Amino acid sequence: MSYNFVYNIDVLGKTYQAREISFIEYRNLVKNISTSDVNTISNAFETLLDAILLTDYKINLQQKFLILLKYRELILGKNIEFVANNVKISYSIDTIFDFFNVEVIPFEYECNDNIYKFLFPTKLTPNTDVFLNVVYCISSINDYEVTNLTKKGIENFPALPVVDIYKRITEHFAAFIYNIKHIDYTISFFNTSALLLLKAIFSYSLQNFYDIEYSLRRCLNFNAADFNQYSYPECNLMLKLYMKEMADKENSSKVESSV
Amino acid sequence: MNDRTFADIISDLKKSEERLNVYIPSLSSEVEFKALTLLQQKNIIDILSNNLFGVIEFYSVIHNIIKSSTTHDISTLNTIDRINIILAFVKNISPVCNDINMAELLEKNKTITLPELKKTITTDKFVLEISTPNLTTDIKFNNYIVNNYKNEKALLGKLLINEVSKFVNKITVSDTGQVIDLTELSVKNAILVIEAIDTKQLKEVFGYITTIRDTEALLVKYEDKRLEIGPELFIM
Repeated sequence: MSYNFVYNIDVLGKTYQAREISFIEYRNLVKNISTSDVNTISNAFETLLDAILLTDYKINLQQKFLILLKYRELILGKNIEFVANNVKISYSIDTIFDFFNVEVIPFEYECNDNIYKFLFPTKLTPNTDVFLNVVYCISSINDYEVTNLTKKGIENFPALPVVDIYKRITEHFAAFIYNIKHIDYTISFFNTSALLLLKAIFSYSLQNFYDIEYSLRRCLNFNAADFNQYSYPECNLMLKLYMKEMADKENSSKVESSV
Repeated sequence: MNDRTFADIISDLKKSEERLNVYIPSLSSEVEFKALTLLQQKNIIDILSNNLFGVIEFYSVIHNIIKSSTTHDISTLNTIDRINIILAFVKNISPVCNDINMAELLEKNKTITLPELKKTITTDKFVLEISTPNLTTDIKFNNYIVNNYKNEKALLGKLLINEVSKFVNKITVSDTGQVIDLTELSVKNAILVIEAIDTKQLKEVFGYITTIRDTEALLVKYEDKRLEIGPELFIM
């Protein structure tokens, strides 16, 4: 039995159950995304999704992005901060979430009597291989729903004009981009912008993690099991409560000694 | 997507799997081929490269695809026929390629008159029996090149000898009457035999090879446009 709390995350009219990640898991995620290599960052988020989603959901980039936005809200809150022209701007994740949380009409393509429908890719980062990019965008073939197709899975599929299809998919979804005006950052599902935004909003100071861990181990006798059970917000809260308690004690002892 | 659904998709796709009836110039008739699969198309594009081996590897991949796409004996198909088969594969993916209507191009190719596919050349020293290489011979020599000369820098000369060796089947030495059947020899020995012959004796063979290659070039030409045969053709 897991003691991790389970959240319901509503995305595109569907509820996804996701368990809360522990302090250690979040710290490891932050470590893994502290790189400029988009494949490593992508793998870190894919691993996170695999770990938190309680059912084997077959989801594409749009759903993954939305789930992760909501998940970030659960860990660090819904506000993200940017610095633009030396001014600190607080921005709500909800604004981005609401823009992308809409059903889109798939791009339809007919080839040799087979009807293919394409949505956003299933991977968080585009592949250098246009073939795989097209394959990852297939959402249905002749009304059969398909997701998470692999290279092996396409062995018997008829050949397709993939370059033309990919160009037309990106044109079909060209309007589905969001610009954060304050920093002129455009989010699209056909480049690494969505992934890099996730990296930015999930990143956190590793020094803070170690400060919290050190203090909780030293003052509240936390051990590895505790850090594997409690989430980052809980650990943070406990440390704040402990510090408040210590501050209260100090104040009351000052009052007593002055009396 | 459960397994059953995925099996249904494959089965559904197979039901609609296109069978291509390709006109084979050397047979003056059509032969049935299975259309390319997405993975086969990907395998072709994956060998895209600018070096000389790129072309040879392209034809090796095409050979394997042709072999697995038909029940017809591919040793009866030659390198001219191969061009038409490639064009038919392309047409099935995209009816228009580089502004050329592929159906019209293939239709035009039915009207092309082929040169002699077998020929006997008599020089002052030899009688050379030559022919347009069939796909089995072609792949045998291509594989030899890839396996033995991959890291060679001076490749052009070897490719030339290899090319001639593909076309020459039998050599009779006029003075002695000795017959050397190159089709019975290993690729290595066939090349050694060709290498030992004076270039002057092979002049007509070079001419014949040019005629065959020119015919292949005719197949990819439509009005003032032409296609380059290679992996790029499958990127569309």
